[in-house]
Amino acid sequence: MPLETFHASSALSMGVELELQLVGEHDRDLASAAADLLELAQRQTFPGDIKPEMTDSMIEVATGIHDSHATLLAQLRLMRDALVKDATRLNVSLCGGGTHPFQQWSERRIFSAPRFQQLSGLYGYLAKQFTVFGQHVHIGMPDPDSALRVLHALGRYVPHFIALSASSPFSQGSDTLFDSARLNSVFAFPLSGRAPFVLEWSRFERDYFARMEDTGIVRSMKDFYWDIRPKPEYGTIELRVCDTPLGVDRAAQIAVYLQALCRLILSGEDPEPVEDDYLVYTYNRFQACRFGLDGLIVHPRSHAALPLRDDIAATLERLAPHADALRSSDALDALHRMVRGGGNDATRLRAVHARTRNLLAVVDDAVAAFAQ
Amino acid sequence: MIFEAGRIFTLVGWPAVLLLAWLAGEIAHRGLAIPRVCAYSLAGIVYSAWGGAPHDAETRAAMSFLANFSLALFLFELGHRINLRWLVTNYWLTLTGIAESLLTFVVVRAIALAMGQSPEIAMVLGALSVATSPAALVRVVNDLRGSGQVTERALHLCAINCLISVLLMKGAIGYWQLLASGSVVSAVWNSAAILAVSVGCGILVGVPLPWLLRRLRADERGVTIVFALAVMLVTLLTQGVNVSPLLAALTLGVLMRRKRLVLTPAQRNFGVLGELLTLFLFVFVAGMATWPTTAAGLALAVLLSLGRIAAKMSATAAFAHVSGTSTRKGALTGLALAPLSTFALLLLEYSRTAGFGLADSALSAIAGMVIVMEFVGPVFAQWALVLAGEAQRTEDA
Repeated sequence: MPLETFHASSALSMGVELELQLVGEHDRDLASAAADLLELAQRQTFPGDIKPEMTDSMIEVATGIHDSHATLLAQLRLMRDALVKDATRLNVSLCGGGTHPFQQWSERRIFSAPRFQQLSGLYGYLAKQFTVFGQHVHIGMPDPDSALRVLHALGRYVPHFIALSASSPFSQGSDTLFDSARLNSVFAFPLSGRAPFVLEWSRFERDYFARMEDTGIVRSMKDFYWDIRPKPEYGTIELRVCDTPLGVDRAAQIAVYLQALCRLILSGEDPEPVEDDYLVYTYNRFQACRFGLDGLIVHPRSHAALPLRDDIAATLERLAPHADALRSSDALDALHRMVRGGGNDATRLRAVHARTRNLLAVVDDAVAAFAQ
Repeated sequence: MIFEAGRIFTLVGWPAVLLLAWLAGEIAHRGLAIPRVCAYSLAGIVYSAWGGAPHDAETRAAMSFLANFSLALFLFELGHRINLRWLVTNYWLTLTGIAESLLTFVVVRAIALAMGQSPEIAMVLGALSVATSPAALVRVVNDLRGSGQVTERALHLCAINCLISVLLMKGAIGYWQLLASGSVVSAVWNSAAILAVSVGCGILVGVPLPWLLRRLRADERGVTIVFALAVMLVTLLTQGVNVSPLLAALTLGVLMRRKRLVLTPAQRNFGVLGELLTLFLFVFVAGMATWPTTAAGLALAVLLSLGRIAAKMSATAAFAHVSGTSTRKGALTGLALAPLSTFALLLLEYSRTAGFGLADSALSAIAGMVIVMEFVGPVFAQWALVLAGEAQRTEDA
């Protein structure tokens, strides 16, 4: 199947997808409830899109297309309220967080749909270990070349998104010492990582996609698990590195942070991306996963070491005029307070664990945070 | 001397029978995809028919205590899975439980009357049929690592119908006492007092327990041991004052859950100790049942069993949509409620020791139904979970 035509979309429009955890009421372990929740959600008009994910204790919800933070947040809250209401009727709870703190991957069941069963056949235990929960953000691009340019220019900011959203400190019953352990599960897939450095759509299509397709490894863009990938049928680029935050408010803040960054890049305020920017990419990404906001990254151009916290704060200041134009200043202020003040969601979950010494209490806290 | 030898033979026979029962259970589970508990029951019935069941009162009392303790562990485990808030927020589920119980009572009682049983026996049969065996259901759920709506709902409905069964049974006893003594006060007092004291015993042990566990900072195995000892304490306490150890254990479980103290997945069934006690429970209890001796008895048993399952399935299916699931899953929930026996039999045994004269004649009438459901019930429960796609095994197989 040839690469789909890049459908131009309204520039800087946004859409958010959230993968959510379904946890049992009695033991707080992941619960097989996706099919039941879908059945119930579809009885009435669900205020958004809802679909199953790889294993049957995950559910994915998606917003429509939004231009502003206010409408995006409103829809996220509506979806959350509808989900919480339905989940209550089924004796399950919903929560964010990139990983479940103590679920055992071998206990998971692949959702009964041909695509997931086929992926499970291909990837073996990786599929069950992929019971991790991410936030994906789509931003509309005016044309395909801009999409690729913005995609590569965003590479330098990927650690920001990892650190801001990190909410997966625990995995399989232990503290991983990572703020985002979830991304370690994503790296295991053969087509993960970053997109090849090509800045024109025609070349991407001819010199990369067509040749990859010829190898028989991929059939569509869906087969690439890149950190940021173009989505031609939507006319967007899709950022996929974020953990699902504990609350939908944070999810909306992260989306508008990306929106403002894209506006800044499209307006030409950032230097043009070059392939050497990627020299520090995986190192910086690791720093963000491991240490969250306390990571120490290397600037791709100056090669200076700088605290991630400071880099995000400085970026937020540069974004101020763009945030004003996009009416998202309040949301970015909230991120600023988080960066300067407390910590991310991973910090919060660790604090709960330190206080209670109980991973059940950690899930309780995540459930409460989601419903707020 | 001869008596002593016989007694030793009986006692030594037990571990051997338990070992055989366990082996049969593994073969049933792995080779035939039949629940292990069916094989345990079969072993019990064979052993009992062979004359292996203890005859002297002392051994019988000791074994009866063990059986009660073991069943109480299951009720505790069931209780700690019960979310009282769910029963309030999704009140349709609670109504399902009440409707399902009452319909079962009415249908089974009607069938028994139509088949020529006396009104008293019909009433006892109806009351006992209401209960789903928590031991068989919890065991099947744990064996299959069931997770989903049918599992959740069946466990909650099981707790409700056990409670209603106890109340109906007490009502039947009360009615009998009313006929015998003519005192309404005595009848009502008997039922209410037993209920209150049973729940009270559960609370008495349950309230200080969370405090103790938090002080000890117990790990998951520590929590399991303390839970098991608490259940033993509750069993002894309730048997001492002659009330229901099962309701007390259920109360204890519900209390622990509300305090967020739970058995971890690794400690379900109370680990290896629990496995051993389960084995004993099913072998011992099945030994108390007897085969119907006549064709009419067998026909009655089959009819009662069919009526019971039909009543449960139609009630749960009827309320499925309003309570938030599909009619299919609703019907499967009813099917999962099929296991009978352990609870009913111990209830009957208990009623007999409490001086309920009717129970002896009811026992022979119910024996057939019990024995049919002994094997069929867990198999139906397993089918229900597999058909609902809630069993881990379906994918592994």
